[in-house]
Amino acid sequence: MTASGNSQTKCIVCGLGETGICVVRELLDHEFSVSVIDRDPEALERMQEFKQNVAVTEGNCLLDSTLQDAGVPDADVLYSILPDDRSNVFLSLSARRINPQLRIYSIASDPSAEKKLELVGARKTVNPNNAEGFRISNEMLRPNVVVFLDQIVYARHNAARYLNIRIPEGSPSAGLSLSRLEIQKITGVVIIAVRRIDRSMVYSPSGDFRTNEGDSLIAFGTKEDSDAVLKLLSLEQDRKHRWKGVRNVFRK
Amino acid sequence: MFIWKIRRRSRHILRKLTRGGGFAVFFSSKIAVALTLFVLVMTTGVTGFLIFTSHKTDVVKSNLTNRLEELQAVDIPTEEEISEKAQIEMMLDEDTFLGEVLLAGYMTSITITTVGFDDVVRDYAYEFMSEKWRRAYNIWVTLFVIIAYMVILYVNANFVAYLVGSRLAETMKRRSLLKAVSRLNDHYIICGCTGAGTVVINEFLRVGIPVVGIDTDDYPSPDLRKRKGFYYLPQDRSDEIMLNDAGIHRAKGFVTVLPDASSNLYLTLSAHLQNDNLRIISRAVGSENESKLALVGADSSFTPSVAVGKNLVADLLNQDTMDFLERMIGDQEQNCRMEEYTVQKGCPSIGATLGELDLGRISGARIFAVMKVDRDIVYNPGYGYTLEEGDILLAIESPEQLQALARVLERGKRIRMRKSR
Repeated sequence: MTASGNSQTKCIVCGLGETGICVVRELLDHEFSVSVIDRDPEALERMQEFKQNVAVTEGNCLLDSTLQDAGVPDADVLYSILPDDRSNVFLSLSARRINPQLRIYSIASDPSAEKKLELVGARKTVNPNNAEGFRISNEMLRPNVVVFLDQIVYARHNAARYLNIRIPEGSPSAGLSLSRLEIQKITGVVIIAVRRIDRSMVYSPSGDFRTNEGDSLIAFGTKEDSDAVLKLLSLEQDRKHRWKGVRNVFRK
Repeated sequence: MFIWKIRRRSRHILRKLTRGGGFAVFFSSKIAVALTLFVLVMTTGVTGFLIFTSHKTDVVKSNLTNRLEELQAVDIPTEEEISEKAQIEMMLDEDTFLGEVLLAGYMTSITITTVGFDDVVRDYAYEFMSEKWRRAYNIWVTLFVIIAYMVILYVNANFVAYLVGSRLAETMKRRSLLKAVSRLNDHYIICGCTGAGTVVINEFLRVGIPVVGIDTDDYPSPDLRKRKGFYYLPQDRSDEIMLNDAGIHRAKGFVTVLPDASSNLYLTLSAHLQNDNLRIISRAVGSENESKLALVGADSSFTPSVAVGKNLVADLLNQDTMDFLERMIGDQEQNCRMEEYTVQKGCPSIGATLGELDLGRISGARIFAVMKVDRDIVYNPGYGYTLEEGDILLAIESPEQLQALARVLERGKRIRMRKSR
C-alpha cells in the first residue's frame, strides 16, 4: 500500500484506552485517515496532541446511532478496543450489520471470545497476552528476527516483501519435487514454506517435497523474483532437456 | 564432643531468638505455642505422678527402716533375722529414683494420649497411701486429665493444621526445587507467571530452555507447572534472596512482566546489580517508565499497549505476512518459528559459501535472508553467498533444525574438506 493509498483508507478507533491511543498513533504514523469514538470527553481531549488530524465523536459506541454519526457506513476499517470482551463482540456485530464491507479488528483477552469475534465478522483479533508474550520471547531469543520483521512489516518502501506464488492450474511443473524444479538454483528464490490446497502448511519443505496444482509457494523477495518463479513454473516439461532450455531462458 | 556441639548450637539459636524480639516472633506462631504447651503438660504430669509414686517408695522405705530398727534391737538374732536384715539394707540402698521417673513418664503419656492401659499408681501404690493421699491423688488425676485433654486437643489441631497447611511439605519441596535450580545454567528467570508471562514461558520451553518462574501473588496454571524444564518458586522471601535462589548469577536472561510498575522497576534494578551480564527485558506499565527502566539496567523495555497497538495495525499494513507469521505461531503440530543464527567470531564456516556447506540438505533449514553486521538484509542468498563474521542467518526452523544448523556451521571445515576431495 502506498502512502497516498493509506490516506484514503478511513479507520475508526472505538475506545481510547492506552491501547486505543497507541493504535491511533500507529495509524497516523502510516498516514491513514483516522476518526475516534469514546464516551469519555477527557480521553477525547488527549487526541489534541495529534493536531486536528483525528475526527472525534463523543458517545457510546455500543449504540448504532453513534456508529452512524461517526461514519461507520462509509468507513473501511474499524478497531474495537473496548475493555471487556462482551462489548467488543457486541460492537463488532453492530458494526458488521451497518457496514458489511468493513474490516474489523478487535482485542480479546479470552480465547473463547476470539472465536466469537471471528464468528461475528472480525477479520483478526489480538490477544494482548499473546502479543506481549511473543514479543518478549522473540526479543529475548531472537532479537534480529524482530528487526527483520519490523523491516518487512513496517517499512514503507522496501524492495523485498512476502511472496505467495500459487502454482497455476495445468502448470507443467505440478507434481514435480522441489529439488527437480530447482527454483533456488535458477532464480535464487528460497522457498520457506508451502501452503497446501487444503490450507495446511509445510515449513522449510525438503527437496523431495512434491508440489501440486493449487499449492502456494511462500518466499520473501521482490516482485521480479515472483515473476521469475512464475515463469519457471509455467515452462514446458521436457524431462531430458529441461534444464538446458530453462537456463537459456534466464540467461537472456 | 556431640553434647558440646548441641550446646553450641542451642546457644546460637538462643542468641538468635533473644536478639530483635526473637521470642515474640517465636511465640507468634501457633505451632510454637502448641509445642510449649505440650512440654508444659508433660512436665506437670511427670512431676505429679512422680510425687505419688515416690510417696509409695517413701512409705515402703519407712516401713523397712522401722523393721530394720526392730531387728537391730534384737540382741541375739536368728539366722533368718540376719538374712532379712541384709535384705532390707540392700533394698534401702537401692536407688529407685530412675524407676519412679520412668513410671511417672509412662503414666503421663498413657493419660494424656487417652490410651489408659492401667492405673499403675492405683494398682501398686494405693495400698500404701493414707486416705488423705488417696483423695489428693484422685483430685489431681481428675484435674490433670481434663486440662491435659484440652491442651492435647489444641496441640493436635495445630499440628494437623501445620501438616495440612503443608509448610513442612512445602519446605521439603522447596529444598528439592532449589537443588534442581542450582544445577541450571544459562537459564531464564521470569517474574510474573500469568497472562503474558505464560506465553513467554511456553515459548522458552518450546525451544528447550529451562525457565525459573517467580510470582508475587498469582500462581501459574497447573498445566504450566507440570511442564518439564519449568521451575516455579513461590515468592515468600525478600527479592534479593528470591533472585539468588533462582540462580541469577548463572542465568542468561531476566524478564519481568509484573502488573505494577514499581515492582518491575525494583526487580530490574536488583537483577542488574546482582549480575551485570544479564539480558533484561522489562514491562513498562505506561510508556513514561521506559526511560526509568533503561536507567536501572533493562536492555529492553516495552509497553504492553504499544505491542498490542502495533500488532493491530501491522495487519492493515501487511496482511499476508502477518497472516503467515500468526499461522506459524499458532500451528501446534509443526512447531516452527522464524529463527536466527549468528555466525560468531572464529566460526570455522567463515569464508565458506552456503553451497559448500550444503546447509539445506543436512539440517533441512532454508536460509531465506542474511542480515549483515550493518543491518542490511540480503534476501535469498544464493549458493554462492560467502559467510562473513557477524552474519545473521534467518530461516524457518523447528528447534531441532536450529540445533542441526548450528552443528553444521560449527564444524564447517570438515564438510568443506569432504567437498573438495
